[in-house]
Amino acid sequence: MKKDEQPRVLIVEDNDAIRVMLFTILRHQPLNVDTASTADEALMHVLECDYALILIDMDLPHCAAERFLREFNARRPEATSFIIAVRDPKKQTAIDSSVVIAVLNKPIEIDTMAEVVRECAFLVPPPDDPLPCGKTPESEQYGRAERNSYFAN
Amino acid sequence: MAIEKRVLVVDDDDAIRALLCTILRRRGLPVDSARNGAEALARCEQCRYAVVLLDLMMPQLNGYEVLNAFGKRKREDRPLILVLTAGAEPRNLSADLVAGTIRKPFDVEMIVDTISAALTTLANREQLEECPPADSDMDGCGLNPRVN
Repeated sequence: MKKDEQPRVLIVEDNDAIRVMLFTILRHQPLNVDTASTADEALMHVLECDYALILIDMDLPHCAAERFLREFNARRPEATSFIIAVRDPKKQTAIDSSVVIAVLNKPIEIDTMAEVVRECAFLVPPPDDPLPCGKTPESEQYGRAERNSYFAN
Repeated sequence: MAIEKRVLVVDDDDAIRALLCTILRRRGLPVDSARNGAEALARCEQCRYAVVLLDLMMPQLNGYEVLNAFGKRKREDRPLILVLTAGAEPRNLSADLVAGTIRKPFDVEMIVDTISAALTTLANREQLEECPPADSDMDGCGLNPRVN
């Protein structure tokens, strides 16, 4: 499969270390990977590109994950993305099962996460009318995610 | 005082300690190791660690007890902790303390990439004055944990 035909995945996670760890692991899978550290950034991504799968931390501050999911559904109702939620089981964050296909509990088991994302991303059919996403995936821009996180410190 | 991001490998299995220490050293990372939880906590009194790779089932303070000890520290004084698990699902790990878990037998490349990626996001900090040179700078990396 050509690189540009591989499923595109979005990681939404505000913790720099965890986001970059997940990005690094998924980058080694046959996937195109982008990251967002906030719900607003994630929303910008999904309005520009089609994602086969979105892995989102439900414990983003100020209920931002729920807000993102609402906005995503409202503004991209045709999208077929699988959503996988990551949450701290102790916080009992509400998950809308009509939107989210799977929940991974924190702390994430890294190899399970990589396997689940890879398997699920390939199940999503490409959209009939894809967005003209012109952005190169971060996973093709070596070191971008790491650099951003580094300079954020 | 040195500015560094040091890694602590805590596992009672000599082979795993030696393997991880050697591989991480090859990536240019300073690494210490500990054979059990008691040694790990003693190490943490002497040195600051950016990342701790922690096995759960160990003699003389297991991984859960080490996590309890880290839980009493201020958040900013805690390292990023990755737990190594074997067999059954680990019970009740706090997401506040543990960034992720990695199942044994682990994929060596994955574990090294995960640690290297995490380190890029962590701020450089001054090492403690009483902290000795890293095990990875000595012979027998990972095999002869030294606790002064």
